[in-house]
Amino acid sequence: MRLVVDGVSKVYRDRRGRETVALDDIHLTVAEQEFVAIVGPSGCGKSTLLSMVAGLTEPTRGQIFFEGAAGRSPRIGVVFQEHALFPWRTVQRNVEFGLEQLGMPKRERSERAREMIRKVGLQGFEDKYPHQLSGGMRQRVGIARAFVIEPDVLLMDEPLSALDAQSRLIMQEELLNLWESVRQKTLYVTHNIEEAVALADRVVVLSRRPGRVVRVVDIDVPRAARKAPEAQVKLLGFADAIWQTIRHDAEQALVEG
Amino acid sequence: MSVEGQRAFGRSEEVPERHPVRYRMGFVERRAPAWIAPAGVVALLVLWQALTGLGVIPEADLPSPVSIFQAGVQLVQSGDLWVNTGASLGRIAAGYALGAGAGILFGLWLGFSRIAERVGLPVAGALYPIPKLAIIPLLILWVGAGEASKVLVIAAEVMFPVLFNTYAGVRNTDPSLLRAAVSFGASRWTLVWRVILPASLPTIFAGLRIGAGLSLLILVAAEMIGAQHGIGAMILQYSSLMLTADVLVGVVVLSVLGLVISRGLAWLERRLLPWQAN
Repeated sequence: MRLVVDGVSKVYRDRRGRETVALDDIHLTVAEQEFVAIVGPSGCGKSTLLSMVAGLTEPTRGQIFFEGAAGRSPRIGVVFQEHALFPWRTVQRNVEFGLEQLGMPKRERSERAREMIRKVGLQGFEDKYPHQLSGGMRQRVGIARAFVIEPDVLLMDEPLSALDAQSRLIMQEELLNLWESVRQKTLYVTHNIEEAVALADRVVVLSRRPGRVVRVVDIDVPRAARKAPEAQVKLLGFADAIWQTIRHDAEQALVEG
Repeated sequence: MSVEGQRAFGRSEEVPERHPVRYRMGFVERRAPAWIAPAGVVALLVLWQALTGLGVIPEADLPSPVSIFQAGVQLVQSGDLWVNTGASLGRIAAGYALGAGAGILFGLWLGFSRIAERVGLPVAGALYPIPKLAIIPLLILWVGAGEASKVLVIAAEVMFPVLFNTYAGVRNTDPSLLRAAVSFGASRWTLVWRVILPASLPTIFAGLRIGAGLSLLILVAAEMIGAQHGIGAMILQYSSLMLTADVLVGVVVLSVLGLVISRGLAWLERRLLPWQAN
């Protein structure tokens, strides 16, 4: 089963009827086991795109669908930028939330959540509330909450952008290890080019106002080999090419806000 | 001339000038030892006792702490204090429960339903500023001069802050939590009971605290307007008899009652909302 974004546009209309085209005719396919990153300057509508795939924002035109055999209705797991954990739920109960909505019996969901909490390295913190955790730990809970429902597509909206630079590097690695263990198709939105290049099989570069796909870069370096020095040089080359593509737009974004 | 230059001229024993960086935030910090609070209270009581005991202030205007205590003991022994406190507690409990319950229910309704919001919010906004004492005659006309009118006026006073806070809590629920819940497949019902309600609880509690303070105020006023028993009635009665010490016993009871209610609510909030940051 693959995810297809077919000619999707998003137009916002303000009170006076003026239109702003946030996204214009986006075509995108995410295959099984594929990790696709979407990068672009602020205001390119990348988060809007993700939100539409999650069914949380209505497209103005176009369609988003899953294509292929499925034994069940497709499940979508979302990791939010500011983690969006429920502050009144403990770590355990936060991770269980999605399983509750699937109607899973208490015993089973408790077990599954516990297992996933261990996988993200938070064993011993099951009964803590979000305000008692650091930023990195909170986002691990957010990631666990999305992964535990065994989604058919993982959507991650700048999941690491609230972290400091060092935590961010550590979390990148952990996220990749976790992802390798499930290998589920993923859309990953970020403004950080290095992060996109380090994680993804394919990087989709969006332009700004209107958001259009201006470039698609295949990162043809096997993920397992990406730590090697030669691979690093190659990744830097990709990152630089992407930066050159969006540099002008990013400068515009800085001026216009 | 550079430091090295000075050394070269053989003045190396000379200690270079030093300009220590002073800590400058000292006067901003407000420190006080733990014993200062009880010591302050004791000191005030001693001063009060001294001023009244020595006759600087006449006992008839302001009785000394000791005579207030004695008056209190007498009121306890005669049973008067229990009768009046009991009557007040009953009214405030019933009125507060009724007002808080109605405030939460209407607040939720206004928060969830667009139609209720459009119609109800201006109505609530118009009723809220009415001093609730002004409707006591109306209430007496409707339900008689008995307990019901006092309970209802307390409820009316408590209801509005709770209602507005509940409404604000519902409306200000973090939209990212709503998105997160929906993304995991939450139904409308789940959203209301499992997300919006718990998210609103801190704001609802803030309303309950405001309501608690107001309930005491309106209780005493209502009892002074017309009641056989109750702390307010007791205070009025003793003051007309010029029994100043007994009046002050009533005032002290009100102070204790207010403290107990607000501490009790704070305790309840900590128990019910252990997830709050502070």
